[in-house]
Amino acid sequence: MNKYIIILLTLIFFTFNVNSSSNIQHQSINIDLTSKTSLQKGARIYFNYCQGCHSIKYMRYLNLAEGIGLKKTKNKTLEQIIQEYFMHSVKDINENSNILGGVSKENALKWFGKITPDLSLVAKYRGKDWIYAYMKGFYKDETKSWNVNNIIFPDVGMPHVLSRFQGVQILKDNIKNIKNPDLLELIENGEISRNDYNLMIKDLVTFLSYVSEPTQVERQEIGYNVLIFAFIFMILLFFLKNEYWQDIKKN
Amino acid sequence: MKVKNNLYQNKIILWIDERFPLTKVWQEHMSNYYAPKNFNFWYYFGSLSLLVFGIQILSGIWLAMFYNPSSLEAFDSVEYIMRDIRYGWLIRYLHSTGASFFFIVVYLHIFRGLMYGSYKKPRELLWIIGVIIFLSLMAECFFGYLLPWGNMSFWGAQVITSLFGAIPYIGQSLVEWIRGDYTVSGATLNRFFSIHVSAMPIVFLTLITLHLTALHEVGSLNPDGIEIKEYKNDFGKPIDGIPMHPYYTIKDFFGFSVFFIIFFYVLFFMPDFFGFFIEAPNFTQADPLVTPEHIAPVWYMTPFYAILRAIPNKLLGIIAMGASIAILFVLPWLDRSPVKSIRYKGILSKIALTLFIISFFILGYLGMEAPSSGKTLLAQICSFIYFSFFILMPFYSSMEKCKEVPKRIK
Repeated sequence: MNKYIIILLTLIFFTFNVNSSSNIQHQSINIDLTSKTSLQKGARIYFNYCQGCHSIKYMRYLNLAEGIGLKKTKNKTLEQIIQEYFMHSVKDINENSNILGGVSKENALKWFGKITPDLSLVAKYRGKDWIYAYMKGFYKDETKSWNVNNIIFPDVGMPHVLSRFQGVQILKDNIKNIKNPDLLELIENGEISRNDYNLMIKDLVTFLSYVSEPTQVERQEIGYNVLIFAFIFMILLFFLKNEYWQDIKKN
Repeated sequence: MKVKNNLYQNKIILWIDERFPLTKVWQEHMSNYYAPKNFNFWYYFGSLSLLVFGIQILSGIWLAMFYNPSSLEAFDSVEYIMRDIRYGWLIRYLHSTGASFFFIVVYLHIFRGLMYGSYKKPRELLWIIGVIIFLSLMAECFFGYLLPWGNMSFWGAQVITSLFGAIPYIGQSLVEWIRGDYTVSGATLNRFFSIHVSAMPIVFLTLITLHLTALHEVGSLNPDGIEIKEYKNDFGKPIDGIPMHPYYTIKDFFGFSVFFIIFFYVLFFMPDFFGFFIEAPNFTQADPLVTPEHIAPVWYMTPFYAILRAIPNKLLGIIAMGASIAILFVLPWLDRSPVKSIRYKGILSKIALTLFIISFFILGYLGMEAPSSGKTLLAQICSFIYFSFFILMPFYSSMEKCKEVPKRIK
């Protein structure tokens, strides 16, 4: 009876995992949050091309610099690091300032019709695969105010800020409802190869994923130690339990 | 008055015993409380519920130190806990993972009761208190789920509170009374916070005390459904019983350690648990103008939510959902079987319980999904099975041929 129940529960559990309710076909990408180079490259992309409009307001400059491994490697003041890496004027900010975007709400509404969203939690909200597909999903659409549309996020108000790297894509067939990146075709090459562009986006996704939960790596490191401890604890208790229960078994 | 058989002979304990029945209580509930010697795997989940309750209380106290229950600050304060408070993320994940694990262990605990007939005479009141605890747990988690003030929190609370609007005549005023506003708002957040951190924990403590008192009055049942109190030795102790302490305390501690491995694995490596424990739309702040693509309650509420949606009429749906839990209260009187445990019940009871569990899981799955005509039909079939398990129980449990129950535990 017990075995039967356990098998039943396992089967039911696995049917839950088969569940996929989304019609978006995403490529699943692997990111390495321990790679400081990837994080630093991603940070640079963010500060050069995203921060003009998008804040990461839950992140502080100092925490970011330490988290992506900038503070410890250089013998420079934080101001110098911020200036050098993040191409930032250090006016009005200190190391504990939150990282805010450069555009005011009024201007954002005027330019994009929408307040530009904060990106602190976007990797949690949308998922890393979504951002990756989204950043590769822009195509030429002259009916839109920025001349681009996005296959993952139809009618998005955001211009393709990385188009000079990616080049120009068009939609192969005029089917807008299927969110499949395979329907896009590159008609004009960008400054870097397709492969390099993919790597560039991957770095950006790695960075945003880090920003969405800066303690992820630390959490897992602690997790291993906790599990080792819990495992030893379990073995000790197992033998202790058997020791006590010996008198019961004898009777 | 001096307590006899004081094994400790410790001056401090003697001093206390003259003023407070410390040794007496300890003996009554631990060292001299006799539990059947044949508890199996399923008997871990009672003590585990108590453990998770402790985790929730402790992590909750620390969360409340840093959380700010105002609609302007709540979402930011959660991120503040996650990023700026040292080990704040650990406290928060303890609480969020703990909430889901609370339901996992409580569901398994209830399943154990269903399987071995723990609700049957003389344990009816014990079972009823347990059902009230389960209801309180659902309420507690519902109140707590609003607090992160994410968009799913907001819309979840909006949908669930609006259910009361279907009650004729008083519905709309009742909804406003619960929310403290015309929609879920800062006023709702404040009162939910207050109930979540003060009222409900008191209710829990009281109910858990009652549950344990009732349990220790009637004694624990076991997988064979045999009453150990019927065969006692010369000292008046059940022959097939063993003292709770040290035998079951040490065994439960072993259970705790296994639980910790699973719990901490989820906590440290997959705290969102594929969007089941923390849902993706909850990473954007509550926004009354933007509805999430698909509003679904957290996984532990979904079976009941699926029953609600299976009925096309809103009021009838709510009644069905209420009935699906309320019917648990009368379970002790629905079971007419001469035996307690599923081990000795007939084939009909076994089939009924299996179908019930399968339909419960399917309902849980359907409650997360966006409705479609096929899924609604499936939900209706499963709701039908869910209720049939209870309503038909007086018939199948009395009709079937049961195996003979041994007099003593082997």
